[in-house]
Amino acid sequence: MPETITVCPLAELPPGAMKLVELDDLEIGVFNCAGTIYAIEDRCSHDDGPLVEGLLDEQECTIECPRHGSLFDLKTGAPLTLPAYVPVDTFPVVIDDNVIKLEVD
Amino acid sequence: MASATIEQPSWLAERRARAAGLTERLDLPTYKGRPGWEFTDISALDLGAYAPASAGAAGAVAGADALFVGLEQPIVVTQVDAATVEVTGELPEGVVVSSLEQAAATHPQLVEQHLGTIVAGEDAFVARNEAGFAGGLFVHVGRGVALERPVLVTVVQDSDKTALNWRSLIVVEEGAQAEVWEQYLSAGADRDGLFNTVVELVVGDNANLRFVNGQNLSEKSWIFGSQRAEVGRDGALDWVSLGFGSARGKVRTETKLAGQGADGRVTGAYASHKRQHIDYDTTQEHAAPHTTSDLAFRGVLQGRSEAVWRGNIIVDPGAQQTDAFQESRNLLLSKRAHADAIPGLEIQANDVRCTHAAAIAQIDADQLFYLRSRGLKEDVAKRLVIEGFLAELVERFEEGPVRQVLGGALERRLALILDA
Amino acid sequence: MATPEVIAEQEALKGINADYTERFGFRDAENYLYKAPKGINREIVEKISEFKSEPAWMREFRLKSLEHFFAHGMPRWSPPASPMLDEVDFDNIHYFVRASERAERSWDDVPEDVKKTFDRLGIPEAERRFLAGVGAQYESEVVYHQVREDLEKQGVIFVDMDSGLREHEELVKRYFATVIPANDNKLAALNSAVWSGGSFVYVPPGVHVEMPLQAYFRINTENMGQFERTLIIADEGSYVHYVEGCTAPTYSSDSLHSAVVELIALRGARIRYTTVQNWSQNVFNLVTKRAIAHEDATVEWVDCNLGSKLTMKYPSVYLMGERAHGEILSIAFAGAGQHQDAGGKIVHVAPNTTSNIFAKSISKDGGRGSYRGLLEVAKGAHGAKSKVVCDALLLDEQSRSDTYPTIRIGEDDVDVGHEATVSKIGEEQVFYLQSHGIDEEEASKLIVNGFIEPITKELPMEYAVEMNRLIELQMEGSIG
Repeated sequence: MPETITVCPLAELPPGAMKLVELDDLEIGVFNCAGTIYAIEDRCSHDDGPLVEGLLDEQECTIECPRHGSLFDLKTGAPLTLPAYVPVDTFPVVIDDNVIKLEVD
Repeated sequence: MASATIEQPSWLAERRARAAGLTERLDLPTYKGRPGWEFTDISALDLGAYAPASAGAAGAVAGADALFVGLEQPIVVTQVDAATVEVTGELPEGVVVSSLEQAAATHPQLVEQHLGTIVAGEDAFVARNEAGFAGGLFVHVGRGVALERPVLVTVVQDSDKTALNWRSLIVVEEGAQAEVWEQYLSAGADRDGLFNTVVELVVGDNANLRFVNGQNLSEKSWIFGSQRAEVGRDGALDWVSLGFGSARGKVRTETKLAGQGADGRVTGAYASHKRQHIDYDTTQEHAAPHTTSDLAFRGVLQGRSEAVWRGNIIVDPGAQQTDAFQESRNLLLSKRAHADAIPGLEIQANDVRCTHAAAIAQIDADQLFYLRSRGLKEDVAKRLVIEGFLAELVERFEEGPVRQVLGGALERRLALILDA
Repeated sequence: MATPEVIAEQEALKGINADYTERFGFRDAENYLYKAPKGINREIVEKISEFKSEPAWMREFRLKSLEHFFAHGMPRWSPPASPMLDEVDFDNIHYFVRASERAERSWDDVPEDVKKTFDRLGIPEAERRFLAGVGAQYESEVVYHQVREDLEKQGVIFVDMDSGLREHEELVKRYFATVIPANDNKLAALNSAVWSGGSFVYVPPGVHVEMPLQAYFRINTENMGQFERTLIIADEGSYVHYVEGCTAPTYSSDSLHSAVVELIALRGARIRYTTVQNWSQNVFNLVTKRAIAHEDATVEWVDCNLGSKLTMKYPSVYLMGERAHGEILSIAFAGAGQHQDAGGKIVHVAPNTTSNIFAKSISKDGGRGSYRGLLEVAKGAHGAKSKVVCDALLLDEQSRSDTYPTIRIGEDDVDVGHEATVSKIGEEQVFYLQSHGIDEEEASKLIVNGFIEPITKELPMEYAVEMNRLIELQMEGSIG
């Protein structure tokens, strides 16, 4: 049964902004990529790098891990460059009454 | 906490105070900003959650799952939590077997001469051990004495949420001989404990020690260990280490072949299941010429368990004619099990023979097929193959009680992880 | 044991690269069009980009990479990297030196003194005899580049990386830094900021380049930093063998060579990349090399390290497609004052992938040879098979050998094994050969040759001959 968690009002996460959400031992990065919100696990599959501390490319909709530079597609969680080769988990985002919410299994 | 009943010599009190100071200064090891080591994350460890163990009661031993069953006429030392609850009284001439705290009072010179000389204190876990060990073990076998009976040491952690600092010091003097079995157990599967062991083995010139160590702690326990041996000229050490229980931790097992002609044999096995994380770090250091070492580890991993084995052979400058061997083999029984093997060689002498081998594999399909074609059921066939894999270890020992006791321990553990 | 045999054997083994100064160590007068002052900063990076009239995205990439370079610490591992790494002085390096206007397609157009250098190194001669194409880099840039006409007609691209970016921007943009991101490590970040030269290779589907393509790298000036960047793409079902060699004069202070090499073998393709590294003993050789092998593709690294002061290089192959195969053959020879920290990494990502690593190292006169490796099998890579074998030969008591193979397995249906041995030349072997009328010196030579033969036999004949010649020279202890 997926659990819905509230992140923050949409206004608090403008385009280009990133936010870290912690849920038990799971950390999720929430990104505003040119107006669209994405959420992925905040843990690089290569070396556990914190992705929300990386570089967000709003045009390509990618995040670059600050540790070794692996580039991830925010939409799918797929790595676009080595050294990571395993996708990171993505989470469905719901905007409910101008509030960002995530569905987490 | 040191037990109150024994008067502690001042030198030991000073050492403990020094170590307590060190614990303030030394941080836990970290890897990339997280507590732990490269392959063993211990960021979930909350040291503050484990109170120092207090005196336990002998009754707890019955609830513990013993590893070593069937030793003949052992000299017994048993400890529950921080209290030594049993020590066999009668001993041959020239032999001391007692709790370490007791020995510090009755044989202060011997203990002071050796304690802390084998395992360096500059380590967060070792310092905690030194500051807080209670009870403990001291074995001393005097020059030329052959101790025929095995010593069986049982340490049981009973109280929940406590830290037990176990300390062993075993000294086998020149030409002497001994066999010590040491097992770490929990009084029940639900106990959440922190077990911190420091073992120092001193094997004199021409001396001979067999040290069999195993842990079958509850699978909620943390285990940390620093165990080290130094072997003198023409001395021989036969060391066995079994890692069955615990949730997570790391045990260092180091042998220094310090005297010419010294020999060290290390045999290790782990068998994990569920979410256990086992970490062994072994070192074979050749510090003198004509020394030999032979290390073999076998691991069987079930469920989501993980095992790390890091093994180093070090040959110091001048340790010519070294012959060192090291082998680690893992059998993965499940898709989700994970094994890391990091063998290493650091060689600074040229006239040496050093070999290491590591392998990780699943059960050999051909072997399985063969057995099944002989009419064996899948699970029986599987079990036979795994037993065969572990039998290679047991066969390193001579026929007789040692083989039987070790074989029994492995068999019971295997039954448990295969049934789960 | 100092038996007469062993003493003779050690005498015979003196002098790795004994004739280096004469053969490779000469230096030319500096007639440069541009030589950047020492040190690294934004201005230098902007200047390099400006010189090359690059597209804006590359300029941005360089500047971002420079920030990564400043942010990263030197590689720190367990077991630790060589203490020599601390001697690298990034402020005492010329990051860009231009010797020629452009990469010429005829040796006659290459500046006379530079051409003479390559003549002396035998490159034009080799090109005529057995190569399908040649790139020659002098300091920061490629001064000569040519590929055989028939290959060009088949669509094979073999140009210097600067021209590659100019002439094939889309292809470059698609693959550049996807195998090794700028932020991968400090040295890769540095290369990404100041890269210059190197090769860009594209082999169209189904094309087999039967003769090797060769790149030759030469450092001439003191305190030079050479940062070539190579990208090789072998399209589906194609084959290419790329060979690189390198030398430099001997100076009293250090130079830095820090390349980034990315290989992409698409479905069914095969890339073989051979290196004969023979830098002078004042060059830090800190190189990042990585390959991706897609479905049914094969990537082979043949890596021979003879020269340099400190080499740190672990060519890797990521087996991303089913049935891909990776192979790493490594020879390292560490003499006095040298540390060869070499090895290889294989990562099995897809099912039924296979790999081999064979590494041989020889240490003498106090040299240190380290093998550092990784064999990883990811979850899901069932049916992976791999074998890693490392052997080291120690020729005297002062030398050192380390072996650090890491094996990480996250899948049960695999078959991986690692073996390593360290030994000296066996007196019995020498004795046996002597009893068959072979003198000690010859016997030692035979044994060392036999030791590395499994790898030299994989080299193109001409290089195998050169390797054997180099090693025989060392064994004879003869000068010149």
